[in-house]
Amino acid sequence: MRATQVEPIWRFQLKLEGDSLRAFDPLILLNQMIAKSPVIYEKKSELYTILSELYSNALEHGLLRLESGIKNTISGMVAYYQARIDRLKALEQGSIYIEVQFEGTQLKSGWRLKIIFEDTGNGFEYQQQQPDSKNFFGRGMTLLYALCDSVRFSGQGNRVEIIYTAS
Amino acid sequence: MAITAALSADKQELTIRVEGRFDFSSLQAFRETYEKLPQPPARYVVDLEDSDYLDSSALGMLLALRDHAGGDTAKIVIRNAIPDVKKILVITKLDELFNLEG
Repeated sequence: MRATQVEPIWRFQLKLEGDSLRAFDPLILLNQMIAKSPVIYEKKSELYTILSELYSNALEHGLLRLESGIKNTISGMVAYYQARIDRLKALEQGSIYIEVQFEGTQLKSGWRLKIIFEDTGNGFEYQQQQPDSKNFFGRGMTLLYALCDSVRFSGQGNRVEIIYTAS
Repeated sequence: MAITAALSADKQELTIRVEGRFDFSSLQAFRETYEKLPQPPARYVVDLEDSDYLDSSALGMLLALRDHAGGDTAKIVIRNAIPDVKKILVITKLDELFNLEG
């Protein structure tokens, strides 16, 4: 008997660079894609959170080199998100590659998504917040690890692959 | 993503409603609901009934409100969060820093 192989039912690839990064919010497109599939739509809330964290990491830390530490006051938070806008306007090089792969069979209830984000930045040190902390930042990684079945960083920390299995 | 706020008749309770996607794009609107009040209310309610999604930047905004409202003595209720949003609050232990209702 042959080993069961998971075949992708569909795969979606997107590369954003330069003006397309400025003009286009991929989260809106990814959300529309989720909304098209009834089985995936049931998990839209968790998937949005996962995609939002992945995109913020790639854009804010990978390409724009923003430091989360300044977000620990409200004025720092405002400054951080203003810098996100300003640096994105001035960004001259760099790209973000996104791949979403839907795997499963329609005969079985199980399905999973493999999501890859890769940016051309230098990578960054990931940090997870201590659970009892009252800092205003640092929970993105905690969320990713809790919501996904697996989270794997590679390269210099500029590529991440997650597996999300519907439960 | 729309943020609206209403003060109770006795001006003691501010209710902030968040609709749709709750993330950094709401930062300005969210903080203006409480920073512009001439007198701070005694209590806050954040109603998430119509909020489908949130991410870690929204958690930061909630914690900034808590800080503004007195930190450990702040009286803030997070109301009507859908189960998936509640799960996010529990994973990140915000359920220990806010009162979750409904």
